[in-house]
Amino acid sequence: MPVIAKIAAFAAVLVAVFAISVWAGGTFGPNPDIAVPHPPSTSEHLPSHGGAGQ
Amino acid sequence: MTSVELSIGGMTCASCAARVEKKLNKLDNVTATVNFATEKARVEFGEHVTPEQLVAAVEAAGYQARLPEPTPAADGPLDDDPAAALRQRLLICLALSIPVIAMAMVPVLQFPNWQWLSLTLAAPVVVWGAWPFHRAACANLRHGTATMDTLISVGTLAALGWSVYALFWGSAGTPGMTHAFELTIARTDGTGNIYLEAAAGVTTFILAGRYFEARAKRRAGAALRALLEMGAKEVSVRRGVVEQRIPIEQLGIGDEFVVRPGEKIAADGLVIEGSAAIDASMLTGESVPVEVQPGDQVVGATVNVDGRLVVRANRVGADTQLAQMARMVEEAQNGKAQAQRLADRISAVFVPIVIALSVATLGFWIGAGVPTAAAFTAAVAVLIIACPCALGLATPTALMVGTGRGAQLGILIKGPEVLESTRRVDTVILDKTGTVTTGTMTLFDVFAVDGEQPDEVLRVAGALESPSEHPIARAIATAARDKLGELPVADTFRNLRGLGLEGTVDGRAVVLGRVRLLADRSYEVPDELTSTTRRAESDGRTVVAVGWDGRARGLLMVADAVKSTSAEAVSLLKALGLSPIMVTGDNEAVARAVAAQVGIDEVIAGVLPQDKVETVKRLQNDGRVVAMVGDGVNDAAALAQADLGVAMGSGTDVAIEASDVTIVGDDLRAVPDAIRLSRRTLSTIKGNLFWAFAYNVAALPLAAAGLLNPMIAGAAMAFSSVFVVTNSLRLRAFTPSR
Repeated sequence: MPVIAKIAAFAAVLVAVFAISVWAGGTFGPNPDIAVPHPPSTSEHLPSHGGAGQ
Repeated sequence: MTSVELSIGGMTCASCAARVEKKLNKLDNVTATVNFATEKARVEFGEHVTPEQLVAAVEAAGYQARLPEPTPAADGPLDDDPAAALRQRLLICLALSIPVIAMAMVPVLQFPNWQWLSLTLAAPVVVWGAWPFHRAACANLRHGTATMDTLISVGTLAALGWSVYALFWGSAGTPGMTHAFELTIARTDGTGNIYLEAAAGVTTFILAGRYFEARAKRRAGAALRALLEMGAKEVSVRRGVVEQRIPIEQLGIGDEFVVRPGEKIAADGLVIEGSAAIDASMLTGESVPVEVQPGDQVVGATVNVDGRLVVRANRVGADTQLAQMARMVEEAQNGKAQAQRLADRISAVFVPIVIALSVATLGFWIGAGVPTAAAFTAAVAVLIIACPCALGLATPTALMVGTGRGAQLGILIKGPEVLESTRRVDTVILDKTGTVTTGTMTLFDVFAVDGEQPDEVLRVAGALESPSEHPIARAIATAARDKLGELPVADTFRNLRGLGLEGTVDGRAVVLGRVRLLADRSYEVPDELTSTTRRAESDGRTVVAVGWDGRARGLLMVADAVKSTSAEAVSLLKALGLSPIMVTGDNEAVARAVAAQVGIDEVIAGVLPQDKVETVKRLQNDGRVVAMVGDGVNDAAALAQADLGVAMGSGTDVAIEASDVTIVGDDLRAVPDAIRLSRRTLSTIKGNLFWAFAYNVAALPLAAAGLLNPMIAGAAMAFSSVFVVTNSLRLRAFTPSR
């Protein structure tokens, strides 16, 4: 198979996968309200200088 | 047709070599063969094609090509170190990556704005350090394929790209941001996380792996150099009555040249004067020198053991058998199919799956209605976690430990591609002389006719043989001296060229040689002597008859002794499921006798060097995967042609250079050990690759669910790396069967 056709076929598969995933996300996905808590849990901010112990 | 050898850069696997070859062959009047291992393209082209066009064609395919540079001075350095550039890249990346990884993993090091320093250090690593991977990934993309380079390129760029986004447009750039040291799983929008340590770490680890591989890469061309250096450098040409010493290059066809005892014959030719014993073991593998006289053909680079010869050159330079042999070795090396790296084969399937999974993750979260940033976080996390850091360590660590253990056991393995071969090897071809046998003549037995003592026969024969340098004479004289101590001195001594010797020992006129020589001299030859001779010859022995005072008195049986360990080695090879075959330039009787002693059933005798290559090719065409064990120059082409070439370290440099594995010393039992060790190393590599992927594949669902954080990514990276290294270290426990 020529390279262009190969890449085009793969791109088409990706588009199909994306479309199916959007549908699957809409149908079976979790409630978006509980999906993204804020702020990020894996980062924390150091207290500013002089703020420690206050 | 003109030919040129181009240096090709940018090839990452065997399929790249095939692409370059196809591209060059598309040009009119061009025939090209590309060798991935040597990174060379041998191109023959017609008048209307220029070397520049060839370079342009290679570059159009996405690779680099360089025309050969003028030959360096003979004493100058012959090669640049191919790993030197990679070493420099690795060291710089290592220096930059260590602080990045340390800052990300050790919270106490996370000073305010540490993330910006991290970006400054990691960006050159990912962009410049991983440049070879990005370039290879682009070349692969243009050909619609994916390899390990694609996976690394996608993974590191995704990690760097996301980190840049998080730093500039997310919350990760805020002064005072830290990576909390926690492995708890929680969904975030990801803009507070950076993955610079993953990007820099993966790049450095993989570069380290590539560096170790580059160091082990076969230095092709060394075999050819060693082979061509075997020829004579100068020659004494006879011009009229004057002898003139000239460089070998000036020797022409028809020139008559003189070869003195101990000298190498300068070119292929015809003996026109004198007679001598010629050591042609280089070509034929036969340990006994061949007697030549006027009218006989001689071959360049063989050694004149004794006698003075005048030879008329009839083939010089590139037409000599030595040059043809060099071409055979080169063709065999070039034609050897290079196995695609295991990691590349896995990546070819893994990469499209990961990209599809990433797209699916993006689609799923968008479909579920979460903010686009969170959906992207999860999609990019899939790409980041999919690139296993340990992938770069899987092959080199196992290889380093495996080859290190091999070196302790006297087994030198040249590169990872060898290991791929050992897995499938089902046939082992063993060269006889010097491999199964010691390669030197040894006295086996002394037979005395009725009324004579064997010791007396040996004493007289030893005394007469003492002045001779012939290998058979040396074997008899040494054995006599070892058994009987000081030997009498031969009063007179005459070499009957090609027949034997005559002389006087203790006042007796002694004749020594073939039985026929004694019969021709009207010596009385008892029947028992004739029948014993026949029996000994059928057992592969060389028989020397001794007679004095008109009567044959006894026989001395000489043969190339089988190594004491050969039989055990053959049984070990059989135990590994391999079928041993013995090939030799010697005659069938000798070969069969040796084969029977060591337990080999299949024998191919009377073969010339080119026949050895043909034998290997024929077996390969029959679907067999062939290992060749040899030691001589005459084995070099077959060693290069075989799927696995094993050279005995006691052999010639040419054989060692043409082989994949070298056995230090001459114990044949190291061959089954080498195959076992290689198989163990290969299975370790496979185990490593499995676990390198497994930890990251296990983390993929977390990434897809949007639950990945830098600590989980780091932990997957660390665990898989530790596992891979520990698994590789297990190879140190490999025990030899010796």
